[in-house]
Amino acid sequence: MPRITVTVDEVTYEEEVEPRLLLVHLLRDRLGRTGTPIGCDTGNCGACTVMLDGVSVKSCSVLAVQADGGEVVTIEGLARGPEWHPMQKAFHAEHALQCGYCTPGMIMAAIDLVRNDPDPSEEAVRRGLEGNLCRCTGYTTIVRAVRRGAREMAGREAGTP
Amino acid sequence: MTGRTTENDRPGTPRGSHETGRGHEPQGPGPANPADLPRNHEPDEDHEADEGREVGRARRRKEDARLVTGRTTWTDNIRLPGMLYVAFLRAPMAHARITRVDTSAARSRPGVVAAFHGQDFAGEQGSLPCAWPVTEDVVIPDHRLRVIAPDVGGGFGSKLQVTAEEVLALLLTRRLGRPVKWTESRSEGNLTVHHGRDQLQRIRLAAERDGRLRAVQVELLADMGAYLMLVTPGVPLLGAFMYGGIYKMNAYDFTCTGVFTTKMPTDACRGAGRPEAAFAIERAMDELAHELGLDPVEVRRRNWTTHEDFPYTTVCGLTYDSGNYEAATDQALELFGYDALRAEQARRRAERDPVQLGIGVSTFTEMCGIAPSRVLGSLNYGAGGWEHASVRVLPTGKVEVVTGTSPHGQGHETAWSQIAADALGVPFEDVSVLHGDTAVSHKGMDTYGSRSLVVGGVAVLSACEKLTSSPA
Repeated sequence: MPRITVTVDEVTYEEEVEPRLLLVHLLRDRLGRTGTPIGCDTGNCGACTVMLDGVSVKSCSVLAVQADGGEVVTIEGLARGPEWHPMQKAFHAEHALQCGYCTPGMIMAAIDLVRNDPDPSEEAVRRGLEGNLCRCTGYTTIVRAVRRGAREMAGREAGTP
Repeated sequence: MTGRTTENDRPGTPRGSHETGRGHEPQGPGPANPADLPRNHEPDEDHEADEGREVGRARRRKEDARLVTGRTTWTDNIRLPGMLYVAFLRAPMAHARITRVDTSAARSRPGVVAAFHGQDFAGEQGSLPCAWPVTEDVVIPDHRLRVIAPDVGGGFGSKLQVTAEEVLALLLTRRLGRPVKWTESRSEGNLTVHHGRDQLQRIRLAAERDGRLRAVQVELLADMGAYLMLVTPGVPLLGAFMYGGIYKMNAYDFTCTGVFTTKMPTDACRGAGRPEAAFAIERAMDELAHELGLDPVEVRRRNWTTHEDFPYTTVCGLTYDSGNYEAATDQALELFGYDALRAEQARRRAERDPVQLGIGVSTFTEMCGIAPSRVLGSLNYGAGGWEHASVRVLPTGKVEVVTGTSPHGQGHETAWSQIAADALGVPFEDVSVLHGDTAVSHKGMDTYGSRSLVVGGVAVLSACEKLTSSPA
């Protein structure tokens, strides 16, 4: 079995994996990182979105061996101690979640979106998150949250409160 | 444009007393303790409302902390020592006769502990499809079964059932002597989750030339699917009370014929019977307006119950307690710029503009909550509609609310905490809510039909009132 080295939320793991093992199964079943949920088995829903080397990926559509040597950030690795990431705060502040099942993927995809477009328009958010499905909210509050999170991320990077 | 509907309630006698729920983990971790979870250190910005009152105050949800950090317990996260995983191989044909099943290839796969087929469970199953008998006569008695439903994702009706697969998991645990786990995949769900509705609706109106309704006649042909699930035949019948919409009329006739087909059964999902009724009556009102050459809003205005009429007993048999459709509609039309849009529509028609404008109008009324009532009694609704809550004050003065319902993302932990905080005069932060575990909450009717806040919330309030009225 291939042996891989992968860093997940700043912890490095060495694992022997079947070549067919999906990254999401590595995270959930092998590493116990259950913050990343599985929503579908068709690559449609985006609930399992994580960052791989700084780019958002659907971890159900990436093989664990493809993450060899890579750095993965999951929803569990965003907060700095008790201090949430601005996008986490924004989702809470704007009521952008109900059942919360899509939320980890939404937040990870949103952070990647903002990386490319620091001040996204409503339409840019809707287009940018089209790979992440939410059944509860109707998206309106999610769009608001992503735009708020983007502003706060920009503020954080500029060093303003 | 909405209205509220209530029934002339006479508290009914609870008929059922058995737990139901989703998931059958024989043991396992309880719901996450909110105290263990990371807290949001952002200052609370909810300061606009009346300081003294929680109900009505726009609180941020107390559920969010565990959900935005990935630290909640989803059902699929639960792992037990020695646990085996179950997978179901389903017949590839929706309607066919199974003549032979050969499990030998499956048994020879590395890692496979056991493989079973239908004849291995013959005689053990009993009457599966209904929720209540599961503990009664099928597998395991009530007091030996613990159901834990931590955060479960959304519901929308799809988690209403106790499924055959869940019961099979119990049978396998007993057969193998080890915990087993089954998580339904989305693809399996697409095959096996009940459908929300499938009915042909025939609606006829009788009206005067001035647009006033005289009678509505409804005939439904409703697809039950291949067998009945929890409330399959009840779903189209819920519509019986709603096909009159918010309108006055002299006569009403409703018939429903349920038919069995080879399809997956229908059952409650997102509105269950009421959106179907709203669609039919509103579509018919549009037809009436068209036939009479009247504005669709005007036809509705000539027929709806006015605010002086309330409380109003409709011809369908429900009593609507209050409403002001005139004022709500006027406000909606103004916000919408209705008159200007109609003028623009007429202009585009006259000019044969390639871009035409369509304007849709609908009223919508919903009955929900499904509490014990005269109407539920008349439907012989076995579940009873009651709800349970208990409230306990800890030695430190903090409060634990135990509820028999179990939310799917509606924010009820926040809402129930607000109710308890007001009723007991304690801070919102001093209330925690326990639910979703039969070891904690031993009876309840669960979450469906928009009932958890209106029925479960009233149960919380009643429990608080008992506490404050009891002698010290």
